[in-house]
Amino acid sequence: MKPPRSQSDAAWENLVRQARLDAPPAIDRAALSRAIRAETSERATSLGWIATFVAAFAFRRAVASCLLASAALAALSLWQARDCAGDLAWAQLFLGTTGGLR
Amino acid sequence: MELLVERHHAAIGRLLWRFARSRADLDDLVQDTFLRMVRGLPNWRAQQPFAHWLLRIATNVGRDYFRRQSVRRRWQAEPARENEEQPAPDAIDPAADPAARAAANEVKTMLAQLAPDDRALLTLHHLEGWGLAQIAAQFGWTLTATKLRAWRARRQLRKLLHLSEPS
Repeated sequence: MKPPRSQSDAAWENLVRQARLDAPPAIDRAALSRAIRAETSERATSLGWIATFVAAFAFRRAVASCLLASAALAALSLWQARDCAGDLAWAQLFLGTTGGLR
Repeated sequence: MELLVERHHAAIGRLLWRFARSRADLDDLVQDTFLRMVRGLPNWRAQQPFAHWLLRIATNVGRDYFRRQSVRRRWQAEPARENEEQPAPDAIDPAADPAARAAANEVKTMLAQLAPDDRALLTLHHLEGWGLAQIAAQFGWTLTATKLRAWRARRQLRKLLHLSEPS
């Protein structure tokens, strides 16, 4: 920063020097503590929920569950398709390429 | 958490008082700073001094406060001096040094006429006595950009000072 160059600059520097002496008023500590406690407990609740979710659907378990569910759905679909394979064009195509379900 | 507040609230309050226009605003800013601290604690890395990290949050809270004021002023389409730029009555604390408080209010009123980032820069430089390198580090600006911004802000301020000078 450059030194003051005019009268107004000098007055400004004096004003700033005096302004630096201004002390802040007291902070409302009670309100601050209340707000922090509320935020902390809210975060603890939300983090607890996240932790429960993560524990229930851990990555490996989730992958295994998805694979099992997919396999079950595929088996169910094929079992249904087997009964009405003659009426389904896609089933005819599938049977044609794989050689049949039986 | 209480211990962190106990240890740092005085420094944070002192810094944010340079930004705030009233005691109520100061309470809001300090609260906002500590709430951001609570939310950001999982991201704090121990290599970084905690006080510096918290100070950075506080300066960003102050800068956001200036930006909000600027946006509000633009939306209200009122001249700066007619609304919030006059110190609020509760900004005058009878316990404080009245001359220093009056001087601080005058400085804040002058700085309030600048763009929010320029205002934040000169607030920290003039009222807190921070160097430009420190300000650049706090706001994540380069030193060159900060010097240029400071030069422009000072030029703008000088114009305002000349305008406000009695002829």
